[in-house]
Amino acid sequence: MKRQVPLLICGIAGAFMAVQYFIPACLPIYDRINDYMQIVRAFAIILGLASVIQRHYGRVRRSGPENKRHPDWVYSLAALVGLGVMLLAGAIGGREQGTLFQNLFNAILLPVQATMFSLLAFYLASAAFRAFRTRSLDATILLVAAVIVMIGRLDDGGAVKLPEIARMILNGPNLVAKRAIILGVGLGMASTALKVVMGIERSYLGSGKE
Amino acid sequence: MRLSQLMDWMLALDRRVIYTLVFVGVTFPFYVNWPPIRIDVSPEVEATYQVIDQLEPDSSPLLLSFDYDPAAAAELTPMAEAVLHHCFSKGIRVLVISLQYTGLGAGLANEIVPRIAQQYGRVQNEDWAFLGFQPNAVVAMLQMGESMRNTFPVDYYGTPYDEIPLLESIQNYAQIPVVLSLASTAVGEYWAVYAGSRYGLRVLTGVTAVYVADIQPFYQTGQISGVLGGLKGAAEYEKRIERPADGTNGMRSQKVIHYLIILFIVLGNIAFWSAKRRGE
Repeated sequence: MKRQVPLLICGIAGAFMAVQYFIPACLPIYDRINDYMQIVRAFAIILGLASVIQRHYGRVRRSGPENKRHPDWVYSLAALVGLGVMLLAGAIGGREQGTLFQNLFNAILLPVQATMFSLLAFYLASAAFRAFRTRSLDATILLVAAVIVMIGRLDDGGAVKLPEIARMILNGPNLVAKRAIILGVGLGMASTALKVVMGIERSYLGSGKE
Repeated sequence: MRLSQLMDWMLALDRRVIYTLVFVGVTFPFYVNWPPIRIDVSPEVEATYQVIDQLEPDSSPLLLSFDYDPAAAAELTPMAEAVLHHCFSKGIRVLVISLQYTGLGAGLANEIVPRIAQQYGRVQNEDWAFLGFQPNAVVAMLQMGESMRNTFPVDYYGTPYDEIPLLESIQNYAQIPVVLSLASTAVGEYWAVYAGSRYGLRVLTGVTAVYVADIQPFYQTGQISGVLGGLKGAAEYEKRIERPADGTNGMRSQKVIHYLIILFIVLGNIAFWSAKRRGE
């Protein structure tokens, strides 16, 4: 029963979502299922929050035979404090412009995340210098195409029509490859969905035995 | 120093030298407004501009979805600001949402939209409204196709849907002429697939530069009506609305860094081939 019931629910729900597209009378049920999905997602956030608190609290508190904290407990404490402060700031002070919540977001979270992403520029430059070698014909073609696109995207090299060539590379070979990948992924998703709905693919149920 | 020694030195170049050059290359142009840049408006950006420009003032709003987090803010915030300047200067209404899964997109929207609306004296809930964030992008897109009210019963600030004048006549996508999704993930594609194909909603996207290649097939087929691609897309839009700002300034840094990376590639290959010829 532990496996049959979830398989049945999945099969019925999956088949309904495929069929409802063609039958307007199914709309009220379809709307209701969408609501359920949002509610499930909201609970997933609560679950994630509980998991984060549990994990970091476990690192902060003293435990084990030696009654010691985890070596990185300070970072966990920072995570917990950050979580608590943002929750309280949002719940008590509101989220409008000028509130503590929005100021913390603007002054800490925004620059921190932007900084993490901007580090890519440094790694990219270093990798370009060390790894982008013309070792083979394929690598040379890739390198030449990359240089043309980099210059063309700056609208430079107009005299030798580099912007047009860059556009041609993006809209020609790139598009062909992308479209092939998208079609492949789409067909793969459809076949996997079909296998899940029909109960052939059951790995989402876990490996537990009845 | 002999040539072979120079090549060896280049091959063993300390990464900190490269990092320093990149740091200087990024920051220097912001202070000296150099190098000069040329910005040509691409067909994708022109199409985006035309679709937004043709929206009626004080009528059905542009649906603007902040589907990115602060990591992509350097590229996508200039786009958001340019589009908002365009809309508010022309009296086009804007309905803002965020489907970025962590909710950080909502924080960005909450910082950007009221600030620019204020510059033009646009009134909250009449000329613009911010409905907030939904975590499950695909489901939210499908829900909005049936009922905007059910998807966002209250706005970001807790105002009930029915108390927002801008939303009086809006039931679902049928009353929305176009959506612009500013996305750093596949959400831009989802808009085309779930809102565009199923409900016939016209879709525009603004994406990070690395995502342009992914979104371009949808533009070519007409499933997406316009694309703003990366910082350059933002700069092109700024040029189109004749209001150069962060996108245009950022292109100077991008120009320096592009040429710096090309220089690194060339030098790295010269050193590589030199070492190979010497049998190393």
